[in-house]
Amino acid sequence: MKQYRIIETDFLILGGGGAGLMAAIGAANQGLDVTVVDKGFPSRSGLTMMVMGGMDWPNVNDPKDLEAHYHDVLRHGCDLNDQNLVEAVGKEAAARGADLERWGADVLKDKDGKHVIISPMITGHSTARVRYIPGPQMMWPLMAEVARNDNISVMSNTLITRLMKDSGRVCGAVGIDIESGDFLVFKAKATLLATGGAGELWKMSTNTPLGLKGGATGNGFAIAYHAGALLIDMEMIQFSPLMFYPSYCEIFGNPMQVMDWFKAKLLNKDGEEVLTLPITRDVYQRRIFNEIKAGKGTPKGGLIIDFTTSPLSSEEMENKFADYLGAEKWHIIKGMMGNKNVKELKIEIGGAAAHHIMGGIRINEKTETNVPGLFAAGEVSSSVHGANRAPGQATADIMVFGARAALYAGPYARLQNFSKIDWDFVKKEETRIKNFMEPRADAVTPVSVKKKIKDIMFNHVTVLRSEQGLTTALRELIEIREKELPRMQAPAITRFNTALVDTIEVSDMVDVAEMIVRSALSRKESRGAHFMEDYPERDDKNWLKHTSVICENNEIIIGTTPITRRVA
Amino acid sequence: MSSNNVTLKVFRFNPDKDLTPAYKTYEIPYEEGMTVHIALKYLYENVDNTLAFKDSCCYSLKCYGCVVRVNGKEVRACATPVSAGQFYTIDPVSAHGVIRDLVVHAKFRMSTPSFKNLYSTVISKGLCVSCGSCTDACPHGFIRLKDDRPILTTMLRQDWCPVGDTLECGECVSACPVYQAE
Repeated sequence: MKQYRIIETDFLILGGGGAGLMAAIGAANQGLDVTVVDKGFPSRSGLTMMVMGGMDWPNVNDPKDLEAHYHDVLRHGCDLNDQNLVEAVGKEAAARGADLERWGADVLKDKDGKHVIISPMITGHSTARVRYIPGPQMMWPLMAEVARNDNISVMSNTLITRLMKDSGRVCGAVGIDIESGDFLVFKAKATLLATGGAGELWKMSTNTPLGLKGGATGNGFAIAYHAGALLIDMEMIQFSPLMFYPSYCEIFGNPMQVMDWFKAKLLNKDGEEVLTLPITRDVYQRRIFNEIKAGKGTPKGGLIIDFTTSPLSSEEMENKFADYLGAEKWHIIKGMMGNKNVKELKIEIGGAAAHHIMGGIRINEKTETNVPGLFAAGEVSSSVHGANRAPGQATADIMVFGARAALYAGPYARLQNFSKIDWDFVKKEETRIKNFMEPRADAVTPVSVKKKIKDIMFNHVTVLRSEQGLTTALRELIEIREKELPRMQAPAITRFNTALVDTIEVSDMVDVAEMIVRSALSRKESRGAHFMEDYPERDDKNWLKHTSVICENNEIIIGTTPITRRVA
Repeated sequence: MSSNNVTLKVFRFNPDKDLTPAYKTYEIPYEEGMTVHIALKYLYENVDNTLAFKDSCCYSLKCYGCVVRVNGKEVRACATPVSAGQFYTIDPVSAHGVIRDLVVHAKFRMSTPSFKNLYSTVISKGLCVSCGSCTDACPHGFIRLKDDRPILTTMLRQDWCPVGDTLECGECVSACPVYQAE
């Protein structure tokens, strides 16, 4: 039998996106030995790299701006936010933005060297605060800063499958090195989950517009759940209209932003205007979804963004696209779309693509979870955004809480000792993974099971939900768990076994999908991103609280938990 | 070969088992908007799930995670369209060690010279002969000639290449005749 590789580190960070790298840099500067583990390669996978818009970055010297930020986020989140966390984001986003700039990020500036504030009002901000800083401008400077720091080691192509515990405290993790197929055991004094969201649970997702991997399969939620962490508001999923035709136009980003910039119109198949800006995200989402559901969509099942009435000339439009996307990227995309005149471009947008998951692991303002030794930051954590995420908040969230995780997990780690490895647990986990590669006669491929989960979630758990649809989804998911999961088989290859990674992901995805559906069934009201046809009204009397998910005896236990309020 | 199909000749190599690499040829149906990346994904999902390739995509044409050799040229798989009835040979990027099939090693390596060295040793001293070797050599298409001088087309500073300063690369430096002579 192959030997285990044992890795000791003060601070283990799962996920090499914005939150993970920010935490790594902070903790390494405190003198801790940090290991960042990513299932892909940081900056070449994950969703931070895909960020197209900006970062909500209130002016800290202006109390009005801070207050506006606070109320905007709370209004979007339908008061389901943890108010302390919202306040922290508002106060610290500017400092994190300044960090990025110091490390080399290029935030869009005008001729006088001032930050350009991008279209703030379209989706319901009350003051102009969003700076334009696309994903690469966050990831590259972070990567360079990580590379400069000797205290950080980055393990790419390494998949963590479960967290290891010792007397109630998270003391490490087990996983596989995808490159060599070795089984790894990590000993850590503190562990941070910064694994991001779960957009790949849906067939249509802005995380994976062309069906290629972004990386957001929700493993983080599943491993936290199995480690006994409390997850809240898992039903709160933000959907976004996705530009899907012609192929590659999804690279343009947020359809509402494109419409606003070019003063374009959104038309149904009869040429009627569907909506006018400004409008908040959940409302325009439902309106587009309803229009398509009412049969007014195009044959491909979408609505059309029409540029012919734009007051801008074709040249101005081209320049604007080139400015926004970068000249080279615009050139490539234009080529892919057949070098048409931009005014004739008719982009089709579809109804509901999963965009962001607001729910997740419950954290406090120190990024602590309910499990000692386990910290969480970024999309995998929850409560900053409440029931609906305001624009520009996701990037602010990952940067602020990535840095905060280092600030609070660092001192915690310094006071801990390494625990003993629980070899029974390690062997059990190894057997679970090895079993996926056992040949069997009735085998199914992980890819086919993944497709089924995506279809179930897309058909029943999107913008408009009903008890009937959710119950059907739950029944089908349980069927998959019982009948298909045990039959999944990956080829028996040790080196870079893509199918084995898929298999492990699918086994986690079923858990996460079930958490989402059960949470959605339990919230008997409509709030923010969660719209139930059976209970169309917001019910502050009974439901101004979080739904919660926790693992007891390997079963999903649903409950509720109160909201943390700001101490006035 | 049907005109509605795309033929892919793919490099297959498992260093644990194989002494030499081999090519395997696949024929897959063409779909509108298909790129090399989507074709490889189709291959993995529907034809042969033992294929190892870099699946993840940043959808921003910026991460360079999917770089492969198509018909001998280093390209990003995500930004390279395929056409019906055509034949494509797909190899891993040759400069790096192969892990399996199309996946190659990528490691932090700060010690290699990058564009910033080129900038400080050659360009800023006025020694550049405008031969264009670095623009051809850059596997990421970051370098362009502007006023006969090489510049980084990324939005960042001139002394800071996003790939070369974090990952192993250094192609522009090894291609520069002046830098080699200096």
